[in-house]
Amino acid sequence: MKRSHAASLLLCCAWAAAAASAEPLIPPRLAPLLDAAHDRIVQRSFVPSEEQKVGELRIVRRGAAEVVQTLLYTKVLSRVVGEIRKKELANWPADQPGHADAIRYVETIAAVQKQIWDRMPRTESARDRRQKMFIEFVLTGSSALIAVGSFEMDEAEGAVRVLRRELLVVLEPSRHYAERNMRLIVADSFHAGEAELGPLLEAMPLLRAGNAR
Amino acid sequence: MKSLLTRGRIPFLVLLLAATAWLGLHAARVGVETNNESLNTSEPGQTESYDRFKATFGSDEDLLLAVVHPKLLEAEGLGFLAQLTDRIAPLEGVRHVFSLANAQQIVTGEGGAEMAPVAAPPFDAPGFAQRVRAALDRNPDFTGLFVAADRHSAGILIEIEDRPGDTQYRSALIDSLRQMMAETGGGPGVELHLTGIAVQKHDVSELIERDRNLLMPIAVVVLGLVLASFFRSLLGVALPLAVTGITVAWTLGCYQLAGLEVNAITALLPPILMVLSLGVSIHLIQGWLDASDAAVDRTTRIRGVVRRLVFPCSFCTLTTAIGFGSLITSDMPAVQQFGIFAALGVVVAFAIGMTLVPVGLSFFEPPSAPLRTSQHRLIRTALDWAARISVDHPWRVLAIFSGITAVSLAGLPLLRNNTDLVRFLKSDAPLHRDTMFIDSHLSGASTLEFVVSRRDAAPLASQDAVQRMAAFEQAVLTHPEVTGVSDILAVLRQLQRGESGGEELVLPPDERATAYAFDLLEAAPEQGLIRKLVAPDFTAARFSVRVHAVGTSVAARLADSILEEGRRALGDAYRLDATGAFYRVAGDSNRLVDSQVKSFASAVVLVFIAIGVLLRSARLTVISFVPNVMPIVWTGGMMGWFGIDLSTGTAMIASSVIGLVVDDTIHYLDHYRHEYRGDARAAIEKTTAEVGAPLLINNLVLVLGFWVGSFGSFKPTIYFSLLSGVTMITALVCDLFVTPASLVLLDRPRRSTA
Repeated sequence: MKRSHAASLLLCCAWAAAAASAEPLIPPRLAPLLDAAHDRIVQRSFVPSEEQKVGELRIVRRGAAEVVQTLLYTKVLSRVVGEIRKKELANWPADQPGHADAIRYVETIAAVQKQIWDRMPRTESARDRRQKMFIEFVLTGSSALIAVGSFEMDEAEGAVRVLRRELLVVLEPSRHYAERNMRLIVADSFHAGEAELGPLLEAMPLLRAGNAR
Repeated sequence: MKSLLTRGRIPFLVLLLAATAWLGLHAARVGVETNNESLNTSEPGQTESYDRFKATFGSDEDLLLAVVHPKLLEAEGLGFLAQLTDRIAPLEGVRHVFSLANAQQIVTGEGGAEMAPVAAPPFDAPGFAQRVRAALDRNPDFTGLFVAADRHSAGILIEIEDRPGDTQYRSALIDSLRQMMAETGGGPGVELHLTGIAVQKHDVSELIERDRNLLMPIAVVVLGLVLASFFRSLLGVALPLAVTGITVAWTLGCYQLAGLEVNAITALLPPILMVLSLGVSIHLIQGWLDASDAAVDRTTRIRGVVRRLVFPCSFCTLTTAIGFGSLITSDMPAVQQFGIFAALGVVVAFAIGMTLVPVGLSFFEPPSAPLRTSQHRLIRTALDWAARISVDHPWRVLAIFSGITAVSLAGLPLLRNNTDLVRFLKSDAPLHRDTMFIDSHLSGASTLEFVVSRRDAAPLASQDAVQRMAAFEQAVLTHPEVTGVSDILAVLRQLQRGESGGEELVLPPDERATAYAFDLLEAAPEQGLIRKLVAPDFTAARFSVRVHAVGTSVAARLADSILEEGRRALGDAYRLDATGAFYRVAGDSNRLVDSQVKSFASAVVLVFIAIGVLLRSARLTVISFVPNVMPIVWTGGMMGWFGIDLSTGTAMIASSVIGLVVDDTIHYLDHYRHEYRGDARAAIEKTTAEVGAPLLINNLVLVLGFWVGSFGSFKPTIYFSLLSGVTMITALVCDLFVTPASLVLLDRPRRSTA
């Protein structure tokens, strides 16, 4: 009985240590797709609006990869995640392909949100209390993935600069889900219809082609 | 004077007519103040604090429309409420409308606390009424404000815009609402009641207009009748009324040229000016009628009368002007304006009276013998009796009058400084009725505003701040006059319940939950209600304390008590300030009475200095003091014994009346001085016989003229009018009894020496 307790305790500590420090294991073939060092921002828009922003959406070129990057920096991240969940479930109903990917995605971002929340100091109320989470949908000719993590930033004249990123989860959803969801997210953030995305996605041939398919 | 009465007569009349026409044109253009701004004092600290409050939280002049409906919480009642809410929302000047029909409650949703309607349509869905009742039970903060405890009356809270430069939009909005109320009807058992500070301002403006149109004609009729009955000639009526008309036209013309509008206090100016402007005319005409030198030509006769009266009349004008002019020390612009223009009117009346009356009389043949009617004989008999009693029993007279003064002095401590804007109006006035209904069925009709902030200007989004504010809220709620408090804590409690998924309304339990609750407030998509309760940066929180319809006496005490308890609960690191329209009225009322006491004191000193200069006798100046201060003490005591409050109107009585009542004494003592030949008794009997009649008629005119104000719409102005009249009657009685009695008593040592 005692041994069983000790084993459980050991397991919990190991899990906690892993959760606290280690980044997810990334297959080597995907690693370059997650390296943001040489990102070229093609378009950007505040979410949900410049007046009441909780973050921003960027359309990014990362080498050959096309990235739809969401940077969320808000004190009420759980609410934003709740809103994302509502939209995902509306866009991917249970009887449609991609529903399982959507569920996995919303559960992942909810877990990351909780992780970020738990890391927040419990007593300091005066410092920057915004919780920062990035979500990236990455698309190449051969792969599609979702990367979720936290980041640190600074702001100058309203522009956000990412100083450090910490990748926490990587998902590999179906290409159909990733491609269409990227288009839906861009359309929603830029307040445009899905059919009107042409000019926004001019530098993103894969995403543009997705519409043709 | 001689040339004025001969070749200068026509040019003078032409000039006078031209000036009167020009100023009369301006007088006709005097507008009515619609925002009651002049009834607020110019105390800079309070004004600044109130401006800051409005800049942070918006206007506190919300309107409350109470709706009584027999099926209030069913589809029919809530449908009616929704219909009213939808009709009010687009009206000009309305910022937001809150009612049960659109009220939101905080519930537990998928992602934590979220907003949900209290009465979610469709209203005819099964179980709708039960759901609404359950929502109201879950949210006790709605009871009192949006729904009565008995669930038969609902409140629609109408937040109006604050447009500092626009004086008309409030009135237009009230008119639209009243029209809507009349059109809506609603069927049997349905009632609508509207109240709020904006309604008070609107109704006060309308009543001022009504009083202005009513009081002037009544004053003309009353004064005309009194003059006709006394002088029994067209001349005796026309000349004084002409002086009066010109005085009113000139003074109100100047008032308009000064850029002022009529307010609840200055609405009294026209009838009072009419009354004040008659004195000189009456004395001159009476002197002209009584003049015994029938042999001289008419110009000489008039000049003789003018020469005899110019000195006492000018001093009477001076003392009356000093009395009214002393009101300039008041903090309240309306009272200052009243004092300045009443004083100006008195001076104008003197100038016009001393010129127009002689010029007017110069056109007529003087009577060959003094007017003697049965009425005059009665007056003379009464005056003879008064003179006899005073000289025969001076000690008894003084003892009786001193006894009355002692009783009055005992009543003075009972005087209560209290201004009640709603009870200013008669009980059948719509605002009075509606406010009392709302006060007894829904929330309190008045609101005291308090603002909590930290001394270091840090946000209040900490658990310490929230706990301290909760302690303050508890302290406020212990007062029986308080019916409820609207503050951000109620929202925080609902948020915490929504976040935790529990049922209990409690505040966030720890630092983190508190900070997160404020984060949620910051991110809430609908900021309208939140901005009314807390500053955008959370550095200031508003506590809107709803109280029963009480006067400023109770409100000022309550506010002081809340401030004291609040500062104790909040601690030294926090600031607590009281403000708001109602708090200002309470503070203004107290300051007004303080300033009136100062004003009265300065008036008394100045008036008696003037009398001293006129009479050049310390003994006579001392004698003149007693019969003039005595009636004011009597009036004060009577107010105390009869429970008449010191308010905006009644606090002006002493300062206004002191300048008037001394006129009788001045005329009496001036005449006495001329008649005195070493025998006080003989001089008194002659003085009372000769001066008594014009004093009596002058006082009768003054009293009846003041009493015209009792047809007004505001109780303070009604009391002002009635009590000023009563004071003048008692002052005349004192002058006819106490003054001669004092003269006899103070004359005795000299007589015995002689």
